[in-house]
Amino acid sequence: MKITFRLAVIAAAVVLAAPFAAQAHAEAGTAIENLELKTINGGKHWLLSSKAKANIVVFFRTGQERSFEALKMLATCEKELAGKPVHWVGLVSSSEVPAEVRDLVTRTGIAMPVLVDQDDRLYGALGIRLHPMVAIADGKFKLVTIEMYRQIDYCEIVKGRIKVLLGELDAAGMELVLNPPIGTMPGDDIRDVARRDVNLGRMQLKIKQYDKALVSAGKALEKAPMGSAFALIGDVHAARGDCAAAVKQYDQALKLDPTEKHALAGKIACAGK
Amino acid sequence: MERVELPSGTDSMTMRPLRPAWLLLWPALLLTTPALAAPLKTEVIKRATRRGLAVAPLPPGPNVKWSHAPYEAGDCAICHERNDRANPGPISTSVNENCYSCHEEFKGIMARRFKHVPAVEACTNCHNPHNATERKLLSGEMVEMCVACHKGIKDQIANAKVRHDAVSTGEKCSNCHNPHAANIEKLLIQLPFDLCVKCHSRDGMIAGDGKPMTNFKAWLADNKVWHEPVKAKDCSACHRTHGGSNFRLLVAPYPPAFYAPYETKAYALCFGCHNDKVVSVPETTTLTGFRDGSRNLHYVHVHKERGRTCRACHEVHASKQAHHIREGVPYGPKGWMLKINYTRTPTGGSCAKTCHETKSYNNKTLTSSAPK
Repeated sequence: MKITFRLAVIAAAVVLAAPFAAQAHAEAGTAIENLELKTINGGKHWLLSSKAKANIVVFFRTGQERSFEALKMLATCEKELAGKPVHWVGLVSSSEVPAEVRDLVTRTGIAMPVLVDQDDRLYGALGIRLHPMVAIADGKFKLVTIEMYRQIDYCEIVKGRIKVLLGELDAAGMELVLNPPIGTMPGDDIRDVARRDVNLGRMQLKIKQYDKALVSAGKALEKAPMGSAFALIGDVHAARGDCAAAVKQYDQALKLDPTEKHALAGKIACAGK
Repeated sequence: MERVELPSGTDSMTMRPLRPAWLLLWPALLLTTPALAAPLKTEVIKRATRRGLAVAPLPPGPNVKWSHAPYEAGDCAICHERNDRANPGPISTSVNENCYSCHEEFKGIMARRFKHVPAVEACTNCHNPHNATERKLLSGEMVEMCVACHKGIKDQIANAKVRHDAVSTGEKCSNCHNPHAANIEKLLIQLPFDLCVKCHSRDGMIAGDGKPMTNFKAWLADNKVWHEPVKAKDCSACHRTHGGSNFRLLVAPYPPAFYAPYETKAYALCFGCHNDKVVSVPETTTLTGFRDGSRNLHYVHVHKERGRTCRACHEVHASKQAHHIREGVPYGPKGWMLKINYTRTPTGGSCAKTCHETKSYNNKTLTSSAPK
């Protein structure tokens, strides 16, 4: 009973020391006390390391699919960041059954030691309210962020946060990890569709289907003003021996795109003809 | 019992006590719940329907509405050895190289981080390069083609009591996934939240059960305290996007009413992430800040025959107040908002003149205030 009361006093002290925040969990900049905790294998291990540039504390529990999936992904992250100054620990409530935790560790393949959070002290102190959660702190034990598990790009995000602390990723790079560019569909950009017409026309030109090539170029120009389409028309005229008409088209093409390679080459070929 | 409609962002619920019949029915509903939570991963049958190069032109017919330009023009030699419809010979390069020679934007698309294996193998796994009955020269109906390999999704769609229109309307699977390649896992075009809000951002959307759906763009703009999965852009933490068994496509059971007797299984949705001990233990000094001393006030509210369900006090997506506490609860047939009047204080908080008289709690003291 006395022990429970003492733990409660410690927990309350930690909570009182934490800033009064609008959000549930501790805010960035909160100092995390480094503690030597029991491991699920009966040993002892420090929660944090001053030798590391990134300290990672993974809060998880047994009997929960999200913890299982998160640990599987974090096992991959651990491997990919092996050899870097990153200190990983898992953390489970003292109410967890050690054998079940060990089984989960084995099935997910995480290499990090798993420590026991006596009476959910750290869970409470950091205001963790969900499982699984990853608390990321710097080498001075200041909390940088708390990342919840997500089904999409989880490992990338955790790795990104760590790489920022390692100096391997800047803020812009992290933003790209958090909000990757839209995976546009083919044809979303009408110029891509117009370019297909030009490419088809080029092949039709190659097999001497001149009229069809002109139709394709026309289709492209209906969609977008493409320098390459004018260059194609020019090449059709040139192939038919009408360099005067061809050069007019090449000039149109170069107005839209001064680097249009077919137009540049066509003008050279037509020069003096 | 009066049923009242909640404002946008909530689901309908009953403020008045449940009829005894409902109380009897509730445990039965729990017992018949098929699964606590939908599995996160689904089965994929690899190589189930890879068509490879078996892509002969379809014979002409009223359903053959789409034709590839070179095929239509009779320019077989653009892809094949000979310009002879009767005997065009083999294609001149690999399938994808052939396609990319016109569709050159694919070089960029296929350079993305996540690539769909059938698309890497051969465009003809899904497309007929001659003609087709489907848009985009797809060899078959899109959903049927996708679920031929993605068996887990097929089962979800087939067994869904609650369906998601996004799967079957518009661009179907391609509403959310790029079947070629993407920058996001699961070949998602955007992060889940961005995809969901793209549609769920207008007024007047009606759910399958006839109830109005939330305009999330407006709701989230107006309510700045976002639930962690919303902040993480992970709508799929709580919603099964391909179809499911629970209302609002929830991945697990969530009490539909205001009052319900406490049962861990009934809160499978919340306890998928939250620690059930937050609610189930009468005393704690760490698991929740909603305690008076060590007396767990979640436990107090929930552990009754007419226990208050999560929705009684919390807004699940976003709220104006800390801890996702809602401003009020609708009361009576006209849905008058009974204010909760929650006030946060440095040592806890209080609720004033709401379901009960003003009561405050202090979570910085350690003695239990539980009745002896």
